[in-house]
Amino acid sequence: MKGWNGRILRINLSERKVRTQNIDSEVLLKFIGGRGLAAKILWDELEPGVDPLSPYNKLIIAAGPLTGIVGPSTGKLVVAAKSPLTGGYGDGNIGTMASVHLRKAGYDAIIIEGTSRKPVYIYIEDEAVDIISAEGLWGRDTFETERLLKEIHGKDVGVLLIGPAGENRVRYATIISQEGRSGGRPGLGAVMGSKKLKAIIIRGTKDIPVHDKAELVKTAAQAYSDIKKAPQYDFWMRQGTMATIEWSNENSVLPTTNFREGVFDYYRLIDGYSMEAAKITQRGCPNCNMTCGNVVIDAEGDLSELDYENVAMLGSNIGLGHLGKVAVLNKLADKLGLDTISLGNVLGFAMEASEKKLIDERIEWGDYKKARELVLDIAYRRGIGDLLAEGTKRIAEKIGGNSIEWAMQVKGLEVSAYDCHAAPAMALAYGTSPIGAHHKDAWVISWEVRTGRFDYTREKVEKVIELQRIRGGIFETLVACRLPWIELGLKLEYYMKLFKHATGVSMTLQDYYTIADRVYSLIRAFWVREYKEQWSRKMDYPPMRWFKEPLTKGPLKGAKLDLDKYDQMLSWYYEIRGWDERGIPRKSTLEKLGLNDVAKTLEKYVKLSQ
Amino acid sequence: MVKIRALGWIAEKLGFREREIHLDKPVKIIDFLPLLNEISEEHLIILVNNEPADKNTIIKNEDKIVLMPVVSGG
Repeated sequence: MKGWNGRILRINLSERKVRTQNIDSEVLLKFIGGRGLAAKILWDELEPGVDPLSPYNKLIIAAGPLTGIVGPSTGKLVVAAKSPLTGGYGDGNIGTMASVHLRKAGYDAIIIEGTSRKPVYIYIEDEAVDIISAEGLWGRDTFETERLLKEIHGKDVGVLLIGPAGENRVRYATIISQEGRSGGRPGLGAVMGSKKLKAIIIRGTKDIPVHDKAELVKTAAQAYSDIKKAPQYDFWMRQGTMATIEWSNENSVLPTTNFREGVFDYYRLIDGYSMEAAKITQRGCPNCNMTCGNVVIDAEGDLSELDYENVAMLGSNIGLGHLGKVAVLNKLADKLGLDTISLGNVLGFAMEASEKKLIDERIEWGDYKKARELVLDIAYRRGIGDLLAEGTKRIAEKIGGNSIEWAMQVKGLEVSAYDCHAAPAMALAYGTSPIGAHHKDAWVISWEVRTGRFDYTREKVEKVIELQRIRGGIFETLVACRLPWIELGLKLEYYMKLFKHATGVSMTLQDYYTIADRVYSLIRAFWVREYKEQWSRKMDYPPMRWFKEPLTKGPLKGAKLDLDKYDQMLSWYYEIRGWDERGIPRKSTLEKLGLNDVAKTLEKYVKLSQ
Repeated sequence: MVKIRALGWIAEKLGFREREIHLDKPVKIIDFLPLLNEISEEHLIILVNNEPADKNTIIKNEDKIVLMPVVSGG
């Protein structure tokens, strides 16, 4: 079958064994690639209950049929494993040349098993795979390590690597590439570190097999052209996602002082216009013509690549209104290999815990010097950094009080940079995201603002599911960036056409929705198999702060969520998905989605509803 | 006075980020911001006094209008 390589590279670090295996074409058609393929592998191969930081966890690196081929923003990869932060399914998406090289090397996915006794890195050049000592690299930051590796292996390779945070198993360590590209929020960097794997370098030299190259190139050219014709294109190229700082503040969703508020008095000091004043260049992923990585000079004179999420979380959420200093924290996170979203949450949580005297350390809101120290302490697990490296849920369980109510996380994964005091559909999107609180599967606030943000309607639930099917389903399995569609209005039909020209398989949007639903139910089954009888619908609740503590500032002062009405939305959500009132897929749903084997296995752990 | 705020690329298109105007009588938004005709509804969110509105919403003095793009949060 064209469009896929049809091969997986399996590397066992304990045994230092490498082998390739074919992927059944039925599996590819049912799960496509990326997140779908990764979830399928993890469901089939992981023993339930394994320690995510043990040799028994597996790190999956998966491409999709659009990865690396000509087409808008297709230079992306999915990384996945059982998460050390959440104990459930975890994945992330990263833009990197490694995606292109993986496909050109002849693989759709890599499975990393076992644990090396000593630090190593893996070098892949088509069929040749070397496991090489990384003793001289262990302990170095991601920027320096990538430069050193490229001096050895050449600049024209793709690199995925971890920094000290991953080595030290910080539970929200990420995988980094190209000095600022970061993916795998639920601790995928820690999984890599637990395997003593510092880096993966890939050089692919082959052509990626496609069904109809001429039509593919024609369609891609048209899509690139449409992107550039979008009325917002020029402004996007200036500010990218950084324009959202002003937008979020205006709409009272800018996370401020650990999500107590949705407006920040000093937002103008960290907004897109401030960024433009400090900007010196911009970077992007392979095959992208709307690059969104805005690079500024930080307060220490170094380069730092900014976007909305990291500026909101390391700026307003910790009360820091100085873009240059925010950029320093961001650069450190990228060098050390930390997720900026969870990091901003943890710092905000620590500041609030300090204010409430639940921890001994004194950390004031906006205290840049202390925040900078803490970032390093977290990555190296020094002093209180050792506790903060565990993520807000575990910290709250340790320090007690009512801190779990303002540990801003769902299922253990920290909330990304949108406050939900007055955004019930977005709260549902966080609650039901398949990896914990992340916006990548559904971001519905714009639509909520437009249609009435205080309503709790079935229509909102349907919108969340529609976005999950597209963002979390189509884009995460084809593995291409969603931003051309979601930000610049590129028609979804293009992706169906690109898929057809790549693979020769015709699919309607509805066909694809079914695949997305299959992947969602499979991932939910993974969570339930891990949590067994401990699983409950409360796992799908957003943080209690949004229900109990109203906004005290801004035009929406007094706003908060209503728990009974949220619960009603959650019931509608389950009903539409074919899940029972516990949020567990019904047996009939799994069978309808072609997951009969999953139903059989899951029945061993929990009683399934019909 | 009517207070108007425009955000992002909508502000670029209109040529201002903040403006105050006086209306002699209530009129539709489109009547005093004709440049909005060049922006499709699908790209535009209009709030009047924090409530969803459209180009034909009638505005009077003391109203607060926000014009913003449909962003999608990355």
